[in-house]
Amino acid sequence: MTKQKKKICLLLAGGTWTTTKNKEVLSVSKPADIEPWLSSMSELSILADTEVNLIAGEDQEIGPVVWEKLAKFIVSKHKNCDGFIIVTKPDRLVATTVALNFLLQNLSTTIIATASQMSGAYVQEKKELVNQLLTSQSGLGLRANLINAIQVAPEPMPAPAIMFGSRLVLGTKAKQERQKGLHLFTSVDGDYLAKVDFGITLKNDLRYSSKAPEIFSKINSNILVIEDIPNLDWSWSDKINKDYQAVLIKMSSDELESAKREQIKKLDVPVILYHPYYLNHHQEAIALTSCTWEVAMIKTMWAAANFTNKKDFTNKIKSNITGEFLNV
Amino acid sequence: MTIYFYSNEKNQTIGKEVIQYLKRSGAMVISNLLTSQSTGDLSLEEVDALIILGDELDANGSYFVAWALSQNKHILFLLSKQTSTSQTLQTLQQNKNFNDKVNIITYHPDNLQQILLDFLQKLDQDSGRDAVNIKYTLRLSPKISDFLAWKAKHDNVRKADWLRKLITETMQNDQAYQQFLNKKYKAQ
Repeated sequence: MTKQKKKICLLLAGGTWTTTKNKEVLSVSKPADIEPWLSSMSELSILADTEVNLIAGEDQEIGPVVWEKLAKFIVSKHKNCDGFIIVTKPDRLVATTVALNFLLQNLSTTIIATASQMSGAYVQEKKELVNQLLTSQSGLGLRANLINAIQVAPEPMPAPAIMFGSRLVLGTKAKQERQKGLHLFTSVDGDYLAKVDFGITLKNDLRYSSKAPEIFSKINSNILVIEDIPNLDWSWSDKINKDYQAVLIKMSSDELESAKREQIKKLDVPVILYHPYYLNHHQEAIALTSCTWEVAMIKTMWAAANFTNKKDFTNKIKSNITGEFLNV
Repeated sequence: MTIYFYSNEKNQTIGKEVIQYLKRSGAMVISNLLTSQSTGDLSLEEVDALIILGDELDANGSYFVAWALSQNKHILFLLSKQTSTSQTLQTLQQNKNFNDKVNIITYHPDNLQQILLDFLQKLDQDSGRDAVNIKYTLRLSPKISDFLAWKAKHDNVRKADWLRKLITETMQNDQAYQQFLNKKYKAQ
């Protein structure tokens, strides 16, 4: 029984909670935690040679700084690895995957993100919840998620994707849900890259981009996010133009009230109106539809960090950069 | 008992024999060799053990092995050659977390059935099969329900515990069932 093992890079940024046979919770917050954590899941070594790197601990916030660090690491190592697996906090899983989608466009390396059902620095506070999961689910899910992620990581994928539970879904299509206290990641259009039952079955007609890779190192930008509620006035400080690089407005209807349109006209920074399906034409703002809310936010951050010229910024927001627009 | 059987042998004759032996012993078999099979709502988590046939451990085989070990399931490796140079198998045998779950056996066509029966018997005796983890919905008449409520209060026990104890005692005292168990994993 011999076979060539693949080399998989495991990048840790929270979401690392797992349990030992003695029901002890292990997680990774510092480099010394890696060895016992990995030893508790020694079955992973059957599938691949894994190189584990700590990008951020359980106590750290997962946001643009970590995303830039992840992207930089992947770019520096992608020629030496057969695939990358990102482990991060479940409530940051979609945003992290989408951020890598915009930072590392059309990179031929496969990037799979996954997580444990639980994360954070304080195990004691969540002990009761852990025990509930151990009884109902026989674990925190990371072990199985990692086995499935390692199995698909050497396969070519169209873009960064999330392996969680029994599904593999593109980050740009992923939607986080909660069911009976458990995290669940579904596809907004019901389209999955793979499903897990007895083995992993990849979708037959995966589509790959023929565009050349485009690498970006920046995504950290200041965006003002507003959730618009009709008949509820906006009040904002005069410093918006100074403090923010863009304003992103989450619309609950397809039309913006005239008073609010006048407010937007006075701003120098670009304003994006987001609605998942449809928006009427508003000359004073950029309309962004047919994508998930996470895509809208991360794309705005990425465009603001990399395109200071308003025309370039507008073009990028309107373009289907990595296939993030959905047929809805 | 449900077994996942994975074979990567080019010659499928032995694999089909394995499936026949397992089915004859009353096990439910799910296998990559069975092209038309209905697994219903079953998932890998509900499989009791994994049997791997083949001297080469390919990517899919490795996946099933890793999965089975992560779920603390027993694995039977059936090798046709006496010596294996596999690094993975040697590692598995030496790893103290796994060696009680991993069984590596060289088979011959004439002892294959006995190897499988011994493995099934071992699984049957595994302490994991005493775990109370199968959900059972039972409809009762109001009279039986009244009695059960009274009995639980009178004896200060939980209804489910009392029922489990009653069934266990009945099972142990049932001569015909005990005879059936003795013959269950014997070669026919």
